Amino acid sequence: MKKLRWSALYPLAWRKEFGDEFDAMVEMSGVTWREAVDIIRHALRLRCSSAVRGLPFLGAWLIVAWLNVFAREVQWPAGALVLTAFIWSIWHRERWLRNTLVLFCSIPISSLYYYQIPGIHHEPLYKTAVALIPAFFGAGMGLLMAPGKPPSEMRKLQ
Amino acid sequence: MKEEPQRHFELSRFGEPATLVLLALASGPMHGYTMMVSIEKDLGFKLGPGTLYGAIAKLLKLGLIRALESDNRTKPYEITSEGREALAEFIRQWEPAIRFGQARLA
Repeated sequence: MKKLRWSALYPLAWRKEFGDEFDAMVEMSGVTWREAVDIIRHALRLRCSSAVRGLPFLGAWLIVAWLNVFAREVQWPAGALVLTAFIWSIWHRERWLRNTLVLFCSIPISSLYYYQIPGIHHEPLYKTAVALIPAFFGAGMGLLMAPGKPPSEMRKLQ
Repeated sequence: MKEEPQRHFELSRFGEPATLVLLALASGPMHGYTMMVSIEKDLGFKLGPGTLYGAIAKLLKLGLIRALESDNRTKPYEITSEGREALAEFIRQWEPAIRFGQARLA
């Protein structure tokens, strides 16, 4: 049977930094119910704070999805994608690819409304294809503008 | 994005885990388990693994401790000069209050 790793309860970024040593320490000290509660409490706290950090991204995602449904012109969602991917790549450059793809997904998902809301006449597939370009353009610009490491080093972080 | 170490530290409440970690590390580099044992044996506080690593992460972020190279899974940490400064400041701040309390309770 696979050994239980207590660090698995923690977010990925935390596990990368402390996971191995944390498990080593827990193996040495042993876990009573009191320690288990302590570990679970802190893991939950970190998980919740990670979720809160993701809220601005969720907000951006919803705005882009909303624009895709209601904007008459394709420029609005495209502009929103450029801007959001740009800002996101500056702030979270190590996650630029994942975030850009997730952001891009707001287009086809929001286009599902196209078939449900009468009176909206867009071309969701067209927008979906077009949206890929500004999303990656914005992310690329954001990466270039990101302070600190040059883009070549960014690849190592993916 | 990694935060810059802060210039002004706030160790906050007395008995806070971060302060206990700094106190333990003041005697030399330690890894998680020895830190936990030292805090319990020398300072009389029992910290859970989650609390301990929460404090370690916070102190690393503040630049008050640093991780040392290690060949095995246990990573030792040592207090930085900023950490010593913050700890000394904390003790200076609380010393009069402790003396006052001891005098009142005597």
